[in-house]
Amino acid sequence: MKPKGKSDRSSSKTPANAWREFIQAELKQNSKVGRAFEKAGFAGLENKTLSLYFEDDAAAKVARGQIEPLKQKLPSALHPCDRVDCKVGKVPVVAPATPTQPNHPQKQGKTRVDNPLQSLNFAEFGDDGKGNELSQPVLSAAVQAEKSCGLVYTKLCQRTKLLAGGDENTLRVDFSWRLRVGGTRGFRELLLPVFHPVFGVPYIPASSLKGAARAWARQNGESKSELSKILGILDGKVAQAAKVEFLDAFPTKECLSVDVATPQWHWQNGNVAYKPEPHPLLSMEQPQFLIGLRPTKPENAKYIPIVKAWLENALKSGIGSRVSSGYGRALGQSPAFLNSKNYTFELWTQGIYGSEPPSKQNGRQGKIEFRPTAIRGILRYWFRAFALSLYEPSACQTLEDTIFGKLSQQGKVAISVVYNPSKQDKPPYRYDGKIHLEATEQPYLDLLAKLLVLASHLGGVGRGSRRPLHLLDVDGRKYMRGCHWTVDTDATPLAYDLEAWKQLFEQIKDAFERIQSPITSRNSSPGSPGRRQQDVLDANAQVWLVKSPNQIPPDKVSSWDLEGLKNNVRGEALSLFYSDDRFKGKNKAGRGNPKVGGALETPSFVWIKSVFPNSGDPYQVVTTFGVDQSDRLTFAKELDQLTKKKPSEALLVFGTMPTGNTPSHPRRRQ
Amino acid sequence: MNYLTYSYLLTPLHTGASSQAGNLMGIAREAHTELPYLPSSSLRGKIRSILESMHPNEAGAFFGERIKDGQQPTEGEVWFADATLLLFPIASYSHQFVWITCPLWLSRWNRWLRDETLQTLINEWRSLLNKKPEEGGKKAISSISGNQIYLQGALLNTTDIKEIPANSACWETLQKLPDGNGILDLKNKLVVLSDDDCAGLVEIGLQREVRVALKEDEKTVAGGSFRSEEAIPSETVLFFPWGLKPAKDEDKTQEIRKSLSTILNDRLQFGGLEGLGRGWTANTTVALNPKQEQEETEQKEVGHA
Repeated sequence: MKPKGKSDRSSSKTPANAWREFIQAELKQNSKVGRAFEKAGFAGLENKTLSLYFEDDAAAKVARGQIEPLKQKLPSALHPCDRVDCKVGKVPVVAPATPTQPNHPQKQGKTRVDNPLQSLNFAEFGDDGKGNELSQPVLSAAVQAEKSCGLVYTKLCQRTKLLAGGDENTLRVDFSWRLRVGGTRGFRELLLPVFHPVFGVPYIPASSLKGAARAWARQNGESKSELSKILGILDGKVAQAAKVEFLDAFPTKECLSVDVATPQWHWQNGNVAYKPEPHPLLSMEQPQFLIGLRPTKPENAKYIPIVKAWLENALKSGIGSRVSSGYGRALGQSPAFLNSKNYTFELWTQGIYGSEPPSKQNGRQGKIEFRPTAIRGILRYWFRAFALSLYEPSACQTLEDTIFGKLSQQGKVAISVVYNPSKQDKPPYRYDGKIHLEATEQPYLDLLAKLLVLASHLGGVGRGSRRPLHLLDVDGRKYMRGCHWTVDTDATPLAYDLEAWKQLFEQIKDAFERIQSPITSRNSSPGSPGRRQQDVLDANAQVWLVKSPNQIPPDKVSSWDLEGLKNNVRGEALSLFYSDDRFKGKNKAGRGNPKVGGALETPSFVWIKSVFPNSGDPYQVVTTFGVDQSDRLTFAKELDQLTKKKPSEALLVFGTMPTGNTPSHPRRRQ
Repeated sequence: MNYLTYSYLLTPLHTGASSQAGNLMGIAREAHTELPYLPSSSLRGKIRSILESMHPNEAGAFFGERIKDGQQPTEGEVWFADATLLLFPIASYSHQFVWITCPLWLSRWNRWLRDETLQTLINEWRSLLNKKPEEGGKKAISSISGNQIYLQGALLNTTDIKEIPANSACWETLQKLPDGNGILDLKNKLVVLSDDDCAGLVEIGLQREVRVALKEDEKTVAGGSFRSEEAIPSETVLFFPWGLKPAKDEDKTQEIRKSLSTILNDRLQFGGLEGLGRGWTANTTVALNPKQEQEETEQKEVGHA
């Protein structure tokens, strides 16, 4: 027997991987076999037959000439192979392979317990049919394995209690959302939490807890000498034993979950391009931990309450990675930064999803998850929409990094959410709770607060953020679409009032100027359907208010099935938008206009949001980007017409109507 | 009178940085086998410090007086040997984790128990593990039967494994081990491997925790503060023999002797990194066959005469 390390995965290598590696090795040697099979699509090895697909007859023919040399060279992972079948066409899409489970002792009355970490090592990667590896099945296997670890957690938590020696020395902590501790990048670029080397379950190492407690105490005015006295120090010749010890902390119940980070916009040579890229990872979902502390000597028991308070505060201000997007915050959170503000919010949505969005594979049944990261994402989007009109792109990018942070650089703000789960299990889902904005300095908090007002007045958050909540009828099937959110801030919701709205835009500009001046005035293009770029609130953007006096808010809709398609739910602006194929996004039948409305993988150029002010009629806010494009100008003209017909029904609060037929601002193509 | 104490690691054990290669904070290892262990000096020091605080007047005589005020050190009444491995946990894809051991560890253990039946069994196992498969050899002897066993990256097939029957002579003795608050489950998780395989897996199975200290206001690691710390993982079972010598004056060390036996049947913390809760053990102590020892001593005396 030869024990193998984790890096050596040859025993569990999938045939697809073995094939890919083999061809790459052949290509390195520039062999005939390598060249002939370079473009082959691997479709599997079954019944000793290796199936390969080629783009055309010519390629398949060349390959057939090399079958015998190929068979001689095939690596052991691709044995036995008697036949090589070279077909023309596309590789049939194979469903992600389920990991092969070894045989297990299924003794009666004994349930099997799995090892999540080891499952990661042995589960098979999936294939997206295009030769790309899918890591989701591997992560899911680990999550599945963790579901059997309940009893292990119970025993480990009992042990914590035992070692801590009393309830007064333990701490039960619930996290408001997700948590990932352990910055290791696992194999194949997967972000993994730290796993216990024996049980393979996620946990929080004592060193992380101690580090967090120490950092919080230091940042909150505790003296160095006091810290060294209580937590100990070893620095060269200076050594002092700790008065309180921290134990490794384990979850009290199953909590491992597949997570995903999907940045949607990317900086590329001074442009911000739309390119959603999902990066699957593992984190713990709303875990509960039992944390044990212990005086190192009986007489040190008096220090326990002090350290406990440090630790509690540290956990409430966040532990682990991505704290500034709402990860790792214990319930009852305390601010991560000095300046903070809370806002009550309510969100109605078609559904926000994490690692499992609706797809063909899951029969359009995704797993909904309210994700605080979506709120951070939308604030960042509106930040860029404004900043790109005020600063040069490079300055804007630097400012974005400064405020929101980047790899190895902590930002100036943190955004987290405490929320109640949706009571309904079908759309519309409704969440409510509190949004916490935190910043190192007041000007950053002011800007963030203003951006939150802007974001909640121009659009929504998460899926369907560009549309108000309504029902969509596609060939007789009805879908919930869009979202509606309200955030209670000092001045909101804004009334249908030109001055109030102008003020908001001015205030945001001022907030930017206080952070970085001078500001200028720039125009940029929102791109085209194929190459969508960041929308910018520049001279080519328009924000219209359209009165919608008969509209009812989502909570007044008694039956979505019956009322969801009606104008009093959709609102005046959306009804207008849907009234003509020139504005709608292109549908499956090919009707619609991709230059105005959205389509799969192309966000719409038009945002519509319903506002129900405390006094006065409801109205809808229409934001159109890049009206220097003629199709989008057509929709703007439609709104302009409305003001001419009924002057009190619509209002242009941002931007101007171009005079004449030529755009007033020549667009700057980048 | 001699004893054997079993120490079940409830938390990882960091036994002093005896080696430091690069940023790896190593642990104490036996010179001849390179297996991690808990040195007797460390063990004795901890036990002495606990008992000193309990019985300040008896500790000197019991452990031996230290050099002070120009006085010579005195001989103590108690001795401790190193704590070495008996069972080591290895993560497993098929069984979550299992405990491995090998003829070497088992023989070292039985050197103190002197259980003849157990010795016969160990010898049988050793010969089976040393034989080639074509001669009927096996790669493992295990309480897990009829199934594949994954050990970290290695795989044992059903044909590689010989089963330990439920009535095997080993179980009675193994029953005396502390059960790690209900986690020890040898009847479903014991795997005996060859000495070499076992040593190889221990190397993989040692816990290596990467520790970093971040700069105060940045998310980057503060100057060079990036190290990996080795530890013997929790769920490991170690054993150490110890013994009492006849007291010169029994009254002087009566209480401390009682306390020693009490603490060696309780939880104790050994090794370093106490602040991170390292080194917590649950202990049970058994008296070594007094009759047999007596006979041997007599035989020796006869021989000498």
